[in-house]
Amino acid sequence: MAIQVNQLTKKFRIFKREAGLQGALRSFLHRQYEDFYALRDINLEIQSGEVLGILGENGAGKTTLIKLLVGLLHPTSGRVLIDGFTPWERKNDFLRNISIVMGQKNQLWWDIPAAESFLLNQKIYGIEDKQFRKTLDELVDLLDISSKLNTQVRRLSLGERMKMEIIAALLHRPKIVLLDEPTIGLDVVSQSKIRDFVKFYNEKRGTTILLTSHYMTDIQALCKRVFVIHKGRALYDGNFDILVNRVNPSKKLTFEFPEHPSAATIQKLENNFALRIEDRFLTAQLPDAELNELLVQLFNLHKPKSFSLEELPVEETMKAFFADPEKFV
Amino acid sequence: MVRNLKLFWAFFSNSLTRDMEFKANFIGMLFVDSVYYGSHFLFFSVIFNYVDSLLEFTKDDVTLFLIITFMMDTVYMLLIAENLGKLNRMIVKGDLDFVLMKPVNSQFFSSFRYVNSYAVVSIIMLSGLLGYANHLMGRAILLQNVLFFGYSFMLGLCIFYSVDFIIASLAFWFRDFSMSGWFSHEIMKFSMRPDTIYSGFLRKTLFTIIPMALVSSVPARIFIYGPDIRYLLLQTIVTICFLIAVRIVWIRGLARYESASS
Amino acid sequence: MNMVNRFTAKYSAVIRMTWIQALEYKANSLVGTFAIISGVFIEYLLWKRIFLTRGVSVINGFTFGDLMVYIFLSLVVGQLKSSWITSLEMITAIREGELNKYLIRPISFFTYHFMLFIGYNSLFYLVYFFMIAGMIIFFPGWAFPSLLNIAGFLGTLIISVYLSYSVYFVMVCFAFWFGEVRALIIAYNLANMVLSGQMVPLRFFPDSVLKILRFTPLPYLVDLPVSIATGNLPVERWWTESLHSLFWSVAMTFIGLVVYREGIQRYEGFGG
Repeated sequence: MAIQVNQLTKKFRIFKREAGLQGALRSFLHRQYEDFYALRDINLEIQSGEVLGILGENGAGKTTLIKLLVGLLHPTSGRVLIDGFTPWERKNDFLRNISIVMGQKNQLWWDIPAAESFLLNQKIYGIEDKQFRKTLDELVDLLDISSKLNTQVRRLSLGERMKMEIIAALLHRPKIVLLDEPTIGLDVVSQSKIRDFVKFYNEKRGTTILLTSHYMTDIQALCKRVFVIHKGRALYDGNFDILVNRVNPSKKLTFEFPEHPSAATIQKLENNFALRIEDRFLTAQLPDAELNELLVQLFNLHKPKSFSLEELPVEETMKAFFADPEKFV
Repeated sequence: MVRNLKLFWAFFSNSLTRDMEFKANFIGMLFVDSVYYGSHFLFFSVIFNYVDSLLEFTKDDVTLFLIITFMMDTVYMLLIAENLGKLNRMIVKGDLDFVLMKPVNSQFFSSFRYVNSYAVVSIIMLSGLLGYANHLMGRAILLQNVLFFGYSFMLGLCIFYSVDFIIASLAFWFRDFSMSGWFSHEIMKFSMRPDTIYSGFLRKTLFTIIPMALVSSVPARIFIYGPDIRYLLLQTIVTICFLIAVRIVWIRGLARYESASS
Repeated sequence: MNMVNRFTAKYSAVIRMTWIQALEYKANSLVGTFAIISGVFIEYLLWKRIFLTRGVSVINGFTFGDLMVYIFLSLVVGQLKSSWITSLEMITAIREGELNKYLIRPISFFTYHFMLFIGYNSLFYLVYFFMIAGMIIFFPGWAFPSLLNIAGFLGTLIISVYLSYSVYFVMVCFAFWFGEVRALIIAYNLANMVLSGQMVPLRFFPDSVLKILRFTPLPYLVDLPVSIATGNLPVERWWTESLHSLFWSVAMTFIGLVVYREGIQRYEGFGG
């Protein structure tokens, strides 16, 4: 078992601040605090080699969970075991086996080429020269970035920089990698490149990967299983496709009649289903069961000239989900 | 230990790469140092227009004292200053995360990560200047003085580091203490005057609780007047106490950081 | 009139913002006060030793008390006028492309940062005002022999704050050409401690140094306001000296404007 989380709770004391000059003055004299539960009673098991997506709105507790898992925070109560280690004890043997990539923060030094920072990481993690060379060559190859190794990081594009950050995080071949918004701000091409890389790497090395992302396409492409946090509590833990289906079980059907359907036909169809017919084209957005029914009827009536069935865009679906997550679970 | 040395070497080569990138800044920093030294020499030359000695420190002694003070400052610049200068912001902005996730002693990492390589040049120049001034004054250089001076200098550096480190770590408790660098600079000013101007209770304080006189005045005394067992012993004890204090502050601070950051 | 209103509204909002921030950073004003007290204290010890060693009561026209008052006031003025932290931030803005923020908004880089500087310092102004007021009340006669001296001090102090900022601004603009010019700012700041008279009155300096200083704006930054405050400068010379410092202010503003205009054309907007 790679990661085991039991009854994990983290409480913060936050400083209540009032707006404006008066508020600043008042809190200058007297500070008020209040308790805030960032995480409450989280239970989670992750198998080694699994890719888990962690979902939640901003402030839901994703970052807190990640920080607890890598040992940057001490929990208020509860337990985390990662290969027998308690993260916040921060034993060197534990630290050598984990890594994190944060899309919003960088560990690479801005003013020097990434290659130099990699050398430093080699020393930090005590990586043998041979293994270091091999890993680096492999990663650089996979990410197709060899020409930029000796360019100062500040001169790289965002996408290139993120690739370098990923290399820096993987040089020591960690068993668990946390990717916190790794594709944030990247263009579509770079996003998909990084996705492909993560998928490939996970399959090849069997690395356990925890991923947070606001791009549902990332999640869909990489994670079978997702863990949804809402207001600090676990809301859903399971298959992503099932979740998507539960939120929006509809698919979109486009059906092209060979010739104009008769008014009677149209009338009949419209009476039974929510659909639209324009010219020779019928479009409908319906749950699976109804859709089946409709298809049977349609095929009985006509041979289609063409037809297509599409999943609804997952971004849209999840937007609907996060608008009111409790409704769906 | 060997691993840390290797690591330090990697820090150094990283930093050198950066410093070579900004040649203008490299030269600029040498310029800053010269201006800094120059203005202090000017200040004391003005002072010595009006007085011949500050108790046992003659004008020559003060000159040597100043050079040694600058050496202390520059070695500090080389090894520590930039790191502690950044520590504060790292604590407040949560960038300490990356440090804490490395399988390396976090205090070592955050104290030595950045090296200011230009300072090597300043140190060489100052050492030359110290030898030259010593020669001009017609003083012999005794091996034992130099050895004990080296020892005392190292202790002075540790004390300098400890005080600065403790002040920078206050950011763990007072998150908005962005001017800790300024504060420690003000405290350090007490180390930049010959200790003979301090007397009574203040003198005792500066030799113990706020050990500024032990930073460069004592090494200078050893260099000028030869080893004095009382000073050396005191300096050794204070250094040990302060290094322990630093360790405690760091561990306590980290516990706070970990429970507070979000 | 409308223009003026909008100008003041815009920039007073900047100052207000910094007040809120300054209050949050309450520790910093304590450090500033500590810096002055410890600064005076160290000089006190040093000069006490010197007066004792020489066995005199007056050096260069200054009694021990005169000298301490001079050093105290010059440390206060020195702190109030020094915008080196603001300057370092401005350099970062130029280097890391943050300048774009000013270029696309209807605010001026020069004025915006001047207001920020004034705002950040506002808590200091308040604290030091009370310190000086306390000195006048509890130690009457140590400084400010007349109301005229107070007025003269305030007038020249305001010019000094502006002049100092405009000198820093010119140096900041060098960042357009050389990128990293923080070293220059720091060197100037350090040299300033001694050369503008924050540690010893300028008249204690050797003539050769004074001759050179007379061709720079340095004597008007600290020595002039403090000499007026302590009555060390005869009233009949106030006007000529103040005119000099005004001349430097105008000149530095003009130079700053030209350098900024040239620089902005070289600006690459690094980082975007």
